[in-house]
This record gives sequence, structure tokens and C-alpha cells, in this order.
Amino acid sequence: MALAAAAVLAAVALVPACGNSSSNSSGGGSSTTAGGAAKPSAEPGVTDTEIRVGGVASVTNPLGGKYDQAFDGVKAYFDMVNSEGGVNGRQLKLVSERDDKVASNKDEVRGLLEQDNVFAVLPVATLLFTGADELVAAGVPTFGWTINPEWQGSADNPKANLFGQAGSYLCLGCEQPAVPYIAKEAGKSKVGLLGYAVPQSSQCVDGYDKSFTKYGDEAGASVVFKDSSLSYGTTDFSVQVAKMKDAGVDMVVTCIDTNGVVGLAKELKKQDVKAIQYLPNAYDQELLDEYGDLFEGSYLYTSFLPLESDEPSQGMKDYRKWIEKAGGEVGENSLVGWLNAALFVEGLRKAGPDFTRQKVIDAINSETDWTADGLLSGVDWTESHTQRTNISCSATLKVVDSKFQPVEGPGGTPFVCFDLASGTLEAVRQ
Amino acid sequence: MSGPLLEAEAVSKRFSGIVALSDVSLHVADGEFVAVIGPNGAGKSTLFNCLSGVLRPDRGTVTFRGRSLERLRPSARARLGIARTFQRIELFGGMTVLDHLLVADRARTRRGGLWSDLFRGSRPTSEELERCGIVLELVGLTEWADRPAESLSLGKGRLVELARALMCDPALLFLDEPSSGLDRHETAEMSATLETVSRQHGTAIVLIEHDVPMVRRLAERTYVLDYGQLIADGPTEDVLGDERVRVAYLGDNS
Amino acid sequence: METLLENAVRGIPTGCVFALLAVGLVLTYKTSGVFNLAFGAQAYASAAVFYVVRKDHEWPLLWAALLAVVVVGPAIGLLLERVLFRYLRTAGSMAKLVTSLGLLIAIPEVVKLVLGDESRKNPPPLWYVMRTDEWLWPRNTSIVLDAGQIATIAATVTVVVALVLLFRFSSLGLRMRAVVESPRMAELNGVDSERVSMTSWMLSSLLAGLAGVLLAPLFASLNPLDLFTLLVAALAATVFGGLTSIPLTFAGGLLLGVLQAVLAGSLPTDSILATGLRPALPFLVLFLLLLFRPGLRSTREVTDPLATVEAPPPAPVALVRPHWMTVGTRAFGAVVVALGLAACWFLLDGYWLGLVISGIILGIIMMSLIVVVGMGGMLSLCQAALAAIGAFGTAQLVAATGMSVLGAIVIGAVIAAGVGALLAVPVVRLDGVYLALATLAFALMFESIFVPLSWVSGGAVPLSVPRPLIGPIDLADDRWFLLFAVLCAAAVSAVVIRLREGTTGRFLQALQTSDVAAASIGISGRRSRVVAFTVAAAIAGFGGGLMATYVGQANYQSSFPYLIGLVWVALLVSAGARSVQAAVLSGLFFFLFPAILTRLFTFPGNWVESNPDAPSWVASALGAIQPNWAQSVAFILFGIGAITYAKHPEGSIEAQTATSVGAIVRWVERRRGDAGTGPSDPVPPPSPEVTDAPPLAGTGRPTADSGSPG
Repeated sequence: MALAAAAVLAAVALVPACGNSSSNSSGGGSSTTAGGAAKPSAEPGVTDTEIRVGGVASVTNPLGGKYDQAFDGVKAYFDMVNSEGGVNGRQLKLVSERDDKVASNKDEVRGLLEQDNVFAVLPVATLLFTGADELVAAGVPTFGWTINPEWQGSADNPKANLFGQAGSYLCLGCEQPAVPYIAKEAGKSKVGLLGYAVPQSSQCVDGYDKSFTKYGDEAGASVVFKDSSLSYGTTDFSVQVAKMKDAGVDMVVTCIDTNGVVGLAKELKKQDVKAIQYLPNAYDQELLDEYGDLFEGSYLYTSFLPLESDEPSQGMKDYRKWIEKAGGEVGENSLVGWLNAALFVEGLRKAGPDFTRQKVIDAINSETDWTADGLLSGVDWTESHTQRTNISCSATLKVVDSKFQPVEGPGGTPFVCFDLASGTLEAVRQ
Repeated sequence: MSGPLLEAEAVSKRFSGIVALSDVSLHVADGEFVAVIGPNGAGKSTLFNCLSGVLRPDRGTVTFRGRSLERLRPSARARLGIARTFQRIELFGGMTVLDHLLVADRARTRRGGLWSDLFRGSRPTSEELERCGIVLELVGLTEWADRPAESLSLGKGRLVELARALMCDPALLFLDEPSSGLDRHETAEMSATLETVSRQHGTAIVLIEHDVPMVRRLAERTYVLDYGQLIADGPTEDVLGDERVRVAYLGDNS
Repeated sequence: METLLENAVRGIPTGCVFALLAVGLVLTYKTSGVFNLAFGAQAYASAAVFYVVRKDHEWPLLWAALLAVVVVGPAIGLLLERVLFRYLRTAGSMAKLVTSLGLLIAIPEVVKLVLGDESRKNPPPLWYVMRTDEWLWPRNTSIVLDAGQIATIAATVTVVVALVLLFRFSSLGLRMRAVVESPRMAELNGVDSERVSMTSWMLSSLLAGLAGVLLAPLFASLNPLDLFTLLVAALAATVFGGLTSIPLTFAGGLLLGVLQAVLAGSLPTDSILATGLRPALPFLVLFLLLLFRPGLRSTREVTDPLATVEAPPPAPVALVRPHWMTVGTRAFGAVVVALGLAACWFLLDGYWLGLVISGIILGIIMMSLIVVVGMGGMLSLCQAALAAIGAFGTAQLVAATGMSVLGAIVIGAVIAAGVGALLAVPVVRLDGVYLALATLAFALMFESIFVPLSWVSGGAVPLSVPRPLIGPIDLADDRWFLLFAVLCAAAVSAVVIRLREGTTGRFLQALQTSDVAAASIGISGRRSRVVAFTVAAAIAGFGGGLMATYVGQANYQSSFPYLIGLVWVALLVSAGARSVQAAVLSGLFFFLFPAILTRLFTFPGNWVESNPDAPSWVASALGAIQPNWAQSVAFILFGIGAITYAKHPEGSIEAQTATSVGAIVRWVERRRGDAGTGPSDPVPPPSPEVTDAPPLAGTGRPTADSGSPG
């Protein structure tokens, strides 16, 4: 009993003396001859030949999400950069791919900081982000996916070193023009809102309600049905759909998960309701492969260039080429990793041969129009930690024949942008 | 003190279709030793359960010192001064013989509770040990005080149950077949102990037994139950000689 | 009115889903005495098999269904019975429930190992269509059923009718119930209880397999958690049926579905009533039924007339250990703790230090389980919610008043105690499984109704909690926080030991082993249990506050989801629900073990990479070790743990300690020589089915001096 306790503690004490980082290194031939000599650096995670980074993802998670693909995106970008000689005379290497198993985010972030000897932390693709404060306190450049509220900063805590894939500010429950714009595009006038009684979901529904209040007149659409008291995990939408049918709803906007969205779609079909959906997080071709006919005519939007774009930008071409080479899957998950890596490398380049962590952070924060080579509509990092940019852009997609089809903005651009200050759905140039 | 210690009037109980007790009345005075006999299934244990509060009778009243026991749960009745043993022995697991007695004593003295446990500790005081010692001596278990009660034989176990009941300093003691499973020697010891308890301590006792000599020796009055009904009651010798009782229970040879 | 009726009818398909799952649970309980919370996991296993053979290998529907439902389902049941539940037949309902909790976690992991981890979208239906919405009936009305719903309704009705016939008219049904009541008695009557028990498990597992395959298409992808969420909502129906009546359970499921649909239709969708009530409805109904349904048959350990044939369970170590040994062990323990603390202080880096801190704090929360489960005999499945209350209280107080965190933690614990007391009053009079279900209902209601409220949890953004300052010492430094946590753990363990060995503990012990005898000496079960529950709630709340302080946030999803509360219970009970060492070790184990295991299996690969000039045989030997073996090893260890637990329901640490104590005592006494003989009492011979460790009174003590210092 007490002996067992001693054994456990002894084992624990020995382990850190052994071994250092976990898991695989980044792929590709890491040639040691880099273009240009590297200046010696005292920064952690930086050797004469390498810049090492580590990341954490909710690889093991109960929802079946594929967050580990973010690592592939980072590795693919690094492969590309390394093949051109690296950055600041060094090769880039993802040395640590931690799995926070959802509940251990703080611990794994600790591990990255204390054990893995990395210069920067990327990607962070996790369901919870309890380790955020540690990263802020450590001042480490951190890049990840803004699915948690901890990414955004505030006036007294700007969290200037946390960089989301397209800005760090998540405005849950804010009015936004993108979805009313979609209603207008699709010619729909009667909107139904559905959400779970969980705060993230119900706040999101309130946000859409406010959006239609603000922009609805112009869009020619209004909310005629709203229910944010669904129980999470419900499989039966028959009552809600019946009510929406009575109200004549032709577009359903939801803040629910994939199970819900599919169940809802089946019920809409059953009750012969001719309504399309706005899909909040269904940018997944596999989903359309199985259920595409249910979502015919539905819409969604992304903050990055759609993968199906007819005129892929250079960034998109690079992404496709290198992710395939690395054996990863094309999709939102790996694209986010790619975007993270791209921003990091940009920071490294701008910081120059004398780069330090703080210099990289400052370099990125001076960017006013970051597009990742045409993958984003332009992020202004001088303000994206603490507020929404005044110009809000999105790329609209429609489901046609079980495939995602990009919908061009006015003027043939992939993104449609709105000036939030104007309060109208008047599309503006960037 | 006027009136009987315990008075049960017209107690009836059925278990969906089966009549366990029908109109049974019983009374015990202070210090009296009364027996309840009858064939198996006659309702004797059911009667005890109704009197001690484990079961609620469908009809009838039970009063103790003139006060109705109707609304009282078994633990409340116990605190009034009623103790009992069980037909199927009910010892506490993981406790020594001494622990059993201490627990009963503390339940009686209301010692214990969060504050007392945390700040004053719960070592047995010398008074407690003395009281336990007396009862252990009485039932003859002094050398066994530190043994886990569960590891003892049935005979010793029954003595532990008896000792535990006695620690409550009861005015009234219900004993449910205390000699069941004991050999002749143990039964004789048990009898002697009960006699002491009754004579020296003045505890009123209601005894369910199959051992007729024991009943004859100890009980002043006897009730006879058969199929849930009282078929005889009165001074023990008279009842044991009663024709109906012989037919129903005793057989013709006694 | 018309709409009301329509909505009611709309609730019937979901009602059948609830009914099917509930009937499965009741069937298992009736025929094996186990309230099998792993029913959903078994269902998932069959659904996964069906998916793989039907979709990946394109088997014809009939063969796929036969394999998944008729072969795999009962095979799992048979395996579980032979390997685990056979040993638990005479154990209490707590041991059985805890085992099913362990299986709930383990079975999906096994499925992952055997069938792989890919996401499985669009589970195929048990019907000749590719997707359930391909076939709809009737058309052109406002209430339309799809293929899956029709199949579910048909299957549920068939199952209910078949089971009613089985139990009412067949001798197998009678034999099944007899074996649950008293296996020995049934044997004496010529019933082969082994055979019957196996049949029972195979039958209920068959039903689990059917449920899994039928219900999987309700979801967009196959996932064990979804089925468990459905199962948990169906619990109310099982209680409606009193855990015995299949037709009533069926009715209960239907009523629940109908009620849900009616409320969804009638309550104004924006109202607070709707937001609070609708998600929580199944749990609220469960709770109310448990409290108010008349005639809930006592689940208290079935009074097997032949139970006394078993040798008594081994006496707890703390009882029979000589005093010198107790003192010695405690002193030794203190030394170990001090050394361990020093080791952590100087040797560990932040990562491991953090895990140890989390482990110690969880150890404190586990100590609350010692009080409520080990001492009180009440299987509380809501300790996570109580810990969360402590955490939220701490966070809200600090945010609102800026008071010292330490004070806030204490007040948070008091709030948790208050809630615990309020909950305890109606709940303690329930016994066994019912009490466990009531606490589970509370945990679920807390999650659905209170956690989303911003005045409780802060809403979508978790509340942050600062580290305290004690004089000049800033506990933001984890080393100091570790010391602080260890001191708190020591204090709480002192409290728990005091209570356990004091009158409170004795009264609870008496109540647990024979509450009728305890009542007969004047111990009020209700009062003692409410006190135990409240104290446990206070300790849990205290631990929760500490946890939130360590993490820096009162984050419910990360630290206190209700499922984790179930894992805690399973872990502690299998280690030893009365032992403070078990509590601390379980807490440490929970956090350290996965990390150590991962390291162990990634270290060889990393070492090989960092040492390219190592001899090649070393490199290939180490290189062969794959990181994902960690999972298989974890599973195997878990399996061994489960089987050990089944044989030692008093807890494996307890059993281990008992064996070591016995050995040491024997050794010491052999050295002392026989100091005279005491009265030796014939001990009933252990029955052949009893565990390897014979009752302590029989080990090495037949001639020992029983007058040794007690």
C-alpha cells in the first residue's frame, strides 16, 4: 500500500530523466545543408540547423473528430518551406504531436513548454483550451484553431501571442451579415432557428436572431420560428419541423452538431418541407458523400478560400500539392494546420536572422493584411486579438449534387465582404 | 406504575392474500417473562416485527407505557427502551464483539457525532468499557471480546446479539428463538443467562421459542399462536397442558 | 387540442426507442441481478460489427444481422458472465453496478482495438434500404414514419410480447428469476444455475445487440457515447416499471417519449421553463419517480436463505491488525509521503508536477467517496457534480467579491454541503440501485439545468480562478501548490479516518451490514446517512474548489462532466472504498498512468532516433515497439483489474493489504513463538467458491494469543 505509493512516485521521478520529446518528427528529407548560414541563437527550440515546434490536438475525442489532421497540415507546409532551404538558415521541424484527450489540455501544454524544448506551439486543435493561460504567461508564439473562447483577448489581457487561423476574436452571439446575406442570395424569406440548451449553442442562436433583426429587412428574410431548448443529443425533430412547416419556413439556420443536422434534414424530407439549411460546421465531403441529397441547395460559409474554388490561389495550389505529398487528407482540419504554419513562417521571415519569440510575435502583430498567399481574405493582426475587423469577409458555398460549390461574391471574387459599421448588406471591396 | 408495560390490541397483518396475524392481543408487565410459542409459520416473528416497528400492522394498536407506537420507526422504538434479537442472526460485519457492545452503548448515550469524533476522539472511556465488561461477563463472552463477531460460531453469535440488546438497558426485550441452532449445553447456558437478566435486572422479556423445557422454566405466562391466531394464553403450565395446544403444536406425548 | 394529440403521436417512435433500451435494462436486472449500465456499450459493439461487415465488406443484410445480433451479442454476454459476473453473484448490488461501470468504459476501447478507429458515417439500417429515410409511410400526412422508426416500433412490441410470454408461461423464465434470488437454493431444486445464468446473459446481450443495430441509424455516425446518452434518458422508464415489470417499462418508455414531444410542442420555445425543463425532462422524471413511485421493491441485498453457507467476508485489515502494526504503518506512510514530496519538489518538471498535483486533488475528492460509498454504503454517482458546485462557488465568489481564494474554497465547500444535505434528505431512504440512480439523475439534472446558467458556471466562457497567496508564498508556483495540496489531503484524510474509526463510522458500519439490527439498538439510519452524504459533499466541494484553483478555471467540461464521476466511483471501489491509501493512489493513478504509459511506448522510438549509432540489434528491438501498443496494454491491465475486483469486491488494495498484513503478523508471531493458546473457535469451513484469501480469522491465528493488545 504505502509501498505501492513509493513505487509510483519513484517511477514518476525516473521517467523525465529519460527521453525527451514524444512521437514522430516531421516528414520529408531534412537536409542539413540549408541555404545561407544561420546566425547562432539562444532561443529555446532553436539549434544551428533547426527550428523546432510542437503542437497539441484532441486526437482522442468522444465526438469522432479528426483533429490530428492539423499536424499533417503543419508538416506539409514545413516540407514545402524546407525544400526551398528553410527559414533563417534553418529547417523547420514538428517534433511533438501531443494528444490532450480533451481533458488534459493544460497538462499537455505544460509538457510542450517544459519538456519538448520548442520555439513555438503549433498547431493547437483541441476541444478545450485550459492551457491558454500558460501559453500567454510563457509568451510563446502559439497558433491554432479558434474553436474555444480562450483565444480571444480583451483590453487588459490582449493575449497577443495567441494566433487563430483567421484572427483570434470569436464573437459568439454577435450580429453578423454573412447568414442574412445567404438568405438573400438563396431567395429565402422565412427563417427557422434551432439550437441546444447548451450556452454555446443558445448564444449562437441569439446571435443569428440579432443578425436577422439587423439585416433582415435588407435580406428580405425574418425569423418566424426559434427554438433553442433542444436537448443535446436529441434524435427527434418531428415537433419542431411540424411547427416550422406550419410557419412556412424555407430556410433553417442551426447551431447544432452533425448528428442533429442530419436528423433535422431527414425530418425535413419526411414531412416534405421545402427548406434549405444553413450548415454551421459541415464542411466535410465525407458527410456529403453519405447524405448529400438531404442537403441539396443548402449553404455554408468559410473564412478561408473554399477547397473547391475554380481559381485556386497560389496558396491553395501549394496546399494541395504538399498535403498530397505528405500523405495527408485535403480538408478543413489539415488546412487549419497549414494556415497556422504559414503565419508562423511569415513571422519568422519578418523577424529576420536575429529572431526571438517576441520578435516573431511583434512581426505578426504588425501585419495588416495577412492572406496566407490567397487562402484568406485578409486578416489585420493589429486588432484581431481583441475585436472583430470592421470588414467582415466570408466565402459562400452551396451544396449542389452532393458537392460543395463555391458561390462567387459580387465582382467574381471568392469572398464577399461587408462593412460592419455600415449596417447594410452592401458588399464592399476589401 | 399502573397498566402494562407493553400492550398490543387486536393486531392483524396480511401479506397480499396470506393472513399472517389475525386479531392478536398481548400484554407484558414490567419485569414479566412471557413466551410466545406455536408451529412454524404461525406468525410469531411477524408479531415481533409488528411490535418492534419493522412491519406496520393493518389493524390494531400497540402501546408502550401507555403511549402509542404507531408512528414510530424501529429506531425510535428502540430508544424508548425496547430491544430485540433476530431469528436469523443479524450481526454487524467488520466489528469485534466489543465493538458491537460499544456501538449499542453509544447509541443509547447519544455519544458521538461529527464534532465529538473529530475533536474528542472516540477511544472507549473507562466507564464504557466497564459497562461492556459487565454485560460480557453476564453472557460469558469476556475472552472473546476482541474477536470479529462474524467469525464466531452460531451459539456465540447469539450471545453477542443478546449482549448487544442488553447494552441498550432495555425495559423490554424481544428474543426471537435464541436457542435455535444451539446444542444442549449452549441452550442451558442461554437459559441461565436469560433467567439472570430477568430476575436480577428486572427486564421484561417476550420470548419466542420451540424449546418447551426452556419455556417451562423461564416464562410466567405463555401465548400460543397457530395460523396467525391466538389459540391460548395464560400461565405457562396451564397453557402447556391445554388440549388445543397439544393438538396444534405439542403433540400428544408431552 | 388537435395539435396536442398530433404531438403526442409524434412522440411514440422516440418512446419506443426509450422502451427498447429500458426493457433491455430491466431484462438484464431481472435475470442476473445486475443493473447493467454497459448495455449501451454492448449495443455499440454489435452495431460496430454490423457496420463493418455490412458496409466495409458488403455482406448481405441477413448474414450481417445474424452475425452482429445473434452471434456477437450473446457471445459478449457469455464472456462477461463467465469471466466476471459469475464471481459476483453473491456480491452486493454495489459491486455489480461498479463492474458494469468499468465495462461501460472498456467495451468501446476493445471495439476500437479490434475493429479500428475510423469514423463510421451513416450506419446502415436493419432494413432493406441504404438509409432509413428512403422509405417513408404513410405519405402525405403530417405524421410520417421512416423505415427505422417502423422497425423500432415493430421490434419493441415483439420483444415485449416475447418476454412477457417467457416470464409468464415458461419454466425458463421462472428458473432465471430463481437463480437471481438464490443460486444455491435453485441448485438444490435441480436447476443448473450456471447454465441458467449463462442463458440469462446471452438473452439480455442478444437484446443489447438488437438495440444497437436498430438504433445506430438514428445518428449520423457510430459513436458509443450517443447510445449511452439515449440509455441514460431511458432510465426513467425502468423505474416506472419498478425494475421488474416488462409491460410497465414499455409503457413508461412510451409515456416518456410522448411527454417529451408534447412539452416540445406546447411550451413556448423561448421561455425559461422550456430551456430548463425540456433537456432535463428524462432525468427529472427519473428523479421524481424514484422519490414518489409507490411500491419500489427493495433492492436491498436479496435475502438468500442459504447466504450463511458462505464464509463471512474477510474482516477489514484495520480491524484485525495489531495496534503496533497500525502505528508502524502510519509512521511508515508519513515517511513515504515526506520522501515522495521531496522527490517531486526537486526532481520533477512542470509537466509531471502538474499531474501529481491533479492526482492529489483527485485523491481528496476520492476521500469524499470513502465517506459516502465506503462508510455510508451509498453508491453516489454525483460526486463530480458536487465537486463542480464547489468549483463554481469558489470562482463566482472570487469574481464577485474579490475575496481570498482560500476563503472562497471553504465557502464553496459549504455550499456543496448544503446542496448535498438537501439532496440527501429525500434520497437516503432509497436503497441500492435506486439510490445510485437518484444520484445519477441529480448529476444529469445539474448538467442540463444548472451548468448552462451564467450565474452558476459563467455560461459559454468558463470563470477563471486565481492562485492564492499565503503570506509571502505565492501558490502560483506549482511546487508550493503541491505542498499545499498535500497538506490539504493530509487534513482531509485525518478527518476521514477520525470519522471512520469514530462513532459516526461505527454507526454507518452497523447500518451497512444490518440496518434492521442497527435500528433495533436505536441508530437512526436516515440521520446517519444524511450526515455522511453531507460530509462527503463538503469534501467533494472542497476538492472541486482546489481543482479549479489549480487549473485556473472552473471548467466543467474539462474537470467535472458526469461521466467522469462514474469513472471515479469505479476506480475507487475497485481499489478499496474504505481505504485512504486507495483514494490517494487511485487519484494519482488516474492522472499519471495514461501519461506514463504513453511515455513508455514512445520512449523507445525516440531513443532510437536520438541515438543513431546504437548497435543495430538494440535499434531494431526497440524500434519494434509501437506507440499504440499502449492502448492494448492499458486494456489488458484493465481486464486483469476487473477480474481481480470481481473476486475481491472489498477492493484490491484492501485485499492486497490484508494478505501482506497477514504475512507480516505470521512472521512476527513465529519469531515470538507461541505465547500460550487462547480459546480456539471452530470456524466454518470456507466454501469452495470463496476467494483465494481465506478469512483473516483463519490465517495463522488458530493458536495465536488472542489476548494480544487490541
